Amino acid sequence: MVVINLSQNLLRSCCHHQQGVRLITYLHSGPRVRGLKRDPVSYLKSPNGISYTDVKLSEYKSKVQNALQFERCGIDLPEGLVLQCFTHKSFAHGSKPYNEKLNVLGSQFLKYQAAIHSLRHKDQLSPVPSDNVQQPLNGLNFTNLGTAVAKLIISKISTAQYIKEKQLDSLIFWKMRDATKDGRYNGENTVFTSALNALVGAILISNGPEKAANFVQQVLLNGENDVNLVKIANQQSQVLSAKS
Amino acid sequence: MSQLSSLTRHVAASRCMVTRLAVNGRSRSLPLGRRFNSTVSDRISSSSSSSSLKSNAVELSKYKNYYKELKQIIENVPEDIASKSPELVTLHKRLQLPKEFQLSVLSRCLTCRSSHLPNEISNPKLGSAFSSTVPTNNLFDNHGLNIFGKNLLTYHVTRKLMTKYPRLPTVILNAAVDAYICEDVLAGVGKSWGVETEKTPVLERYLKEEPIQITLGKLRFYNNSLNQEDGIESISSLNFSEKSAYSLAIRSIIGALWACTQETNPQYAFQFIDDHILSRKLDISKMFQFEQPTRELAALCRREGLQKPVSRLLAESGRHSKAPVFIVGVFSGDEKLGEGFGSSLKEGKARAATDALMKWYCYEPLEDQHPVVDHGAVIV
Repeated sequence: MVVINLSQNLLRSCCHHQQGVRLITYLHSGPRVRGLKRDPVSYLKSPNGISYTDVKLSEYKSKVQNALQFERCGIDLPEGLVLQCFTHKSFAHGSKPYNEKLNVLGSQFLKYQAAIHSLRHKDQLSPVPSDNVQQPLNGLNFTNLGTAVAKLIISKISTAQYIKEKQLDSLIFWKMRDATKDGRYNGENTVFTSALNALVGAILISNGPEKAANFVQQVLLNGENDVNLVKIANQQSQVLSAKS
Repeated sequence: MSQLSSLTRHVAASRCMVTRLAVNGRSRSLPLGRRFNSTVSDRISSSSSSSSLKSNAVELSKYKNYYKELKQIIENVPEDIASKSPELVTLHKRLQLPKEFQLSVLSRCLTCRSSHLPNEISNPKLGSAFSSTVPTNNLFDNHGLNIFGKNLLTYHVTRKLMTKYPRLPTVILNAAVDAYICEDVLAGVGKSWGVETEKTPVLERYLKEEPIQITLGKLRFYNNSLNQEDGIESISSLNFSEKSAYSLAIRSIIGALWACTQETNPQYAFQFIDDHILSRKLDISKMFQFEQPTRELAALCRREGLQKPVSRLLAESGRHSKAPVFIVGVFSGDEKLGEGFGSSLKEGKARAATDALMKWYCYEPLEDQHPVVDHGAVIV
């Protein structure tokens, strides 16, 4: 049932001086009605119920900053950019700044840095048949590239798991394909991965490649941290090998 | 399965060739491999005595030694032999590679993993092919170098494009990256560098008494002689084309360049990509195609908080004639966003909106400007 409630904030008027016509826009909230314009408040909400318009940017940024140890690498991101990194293209039909391209750049950079990490790893990351071992070049272990664990480090499963373990998934703004179904059906991993990649991309653009490389190596790939991509990748590979 | 079937096809083809040989006699138009087959048999048939048999055995053992030596060298190229290869030295000079980049590494970049395959697919023992590469282990091929080189290339090209055109929509950005580093383009770059492919079978090289270092400077990949000379193609699910081999080599050279210079000058590899890959001209504006330009422009203005775009007729000529021209401008408030012409008002309006969108998406910031982060393309 549609209830038309002409409260103050729903009735907006504006004057177009040139035409001299008065326009009244009715913004509808509640169940969807075809042809009626929706009140932005009703759709600017994350799956966790956080309202996009009510986000306190400084608080939001400090949560991300603390979880990912920005100070350790001397990184500072503008507040708006952090919010953009955590906004997926599906949110509000792309009407708010979203992370698609930052994700593209970030994923390339992460891949490059993860490759360097695998190259500098003297031992094999995962078992390799003896006839596929390659001669190291300048002390870099090229056998590791393309192996199962090296691929898992930057796979969607691992990066999404990283976001979940850091409890940043509740901060992400996106729209579920079907809210009644599980995360797998909704493509949760892809969305979470895009947020982490976008953050790397944003650091790369605003703080430069040195700091971004430092961030990836010190925070994301460092084996000494409680949560790191290498550890997650090793766990995942164990799970996969147990399955097969 | 596909390997097996290709093998049977090769064997069948070679049988067919033998019958043709019997019917036609020794023809000069025969494929090279067969010609050498006949040379060897000539030598055997012409000498009937046991002494000639002995000399044949000596000849065979000499060939075996040549083959073995070739295999050994390709499995781990020594620097002193690589430095004797004229192709390697000239390629090194031509690309102005640093001293740290050894010639043996350059030779490794030219060995593709597919070059080891002829042993399995077209077994020379069965006489089905005269391969131009020798089967070796994977110790000294460009597999890992290629993966790393590809990472470097995609990252650097994407970053440079995004810095130059921060507002490109993702599809256009991906297409532009592809236009710089796709297989066909890299193959073209490889050819322009003067890299040659190894097409001569090992046996022929032995008969020519070709020094082993000559082959070190050529691109070695899956290319057995059957493929080119009999018109028979081996079918496989893997990509063994010449183009893919060239692109593997280019990517590996970039990967190896990074590996060799990372301690002394980490920017060297990126400079190399700038000079050889990004120096090619690409017209971004030709890559766009808008389906609903006016709607998209309206959505863009709404998102950016600009006033609604309004199209206005700026000039016209010959409205009632056969060839009218209308010049339309699209305005947001007092600001003119774009201008277009057309033989109808509608066409002019669409062109004006397209022009405005192009100016938005192809915006290039100045070099010393603060980095621009785009909010994403408009979804219509």
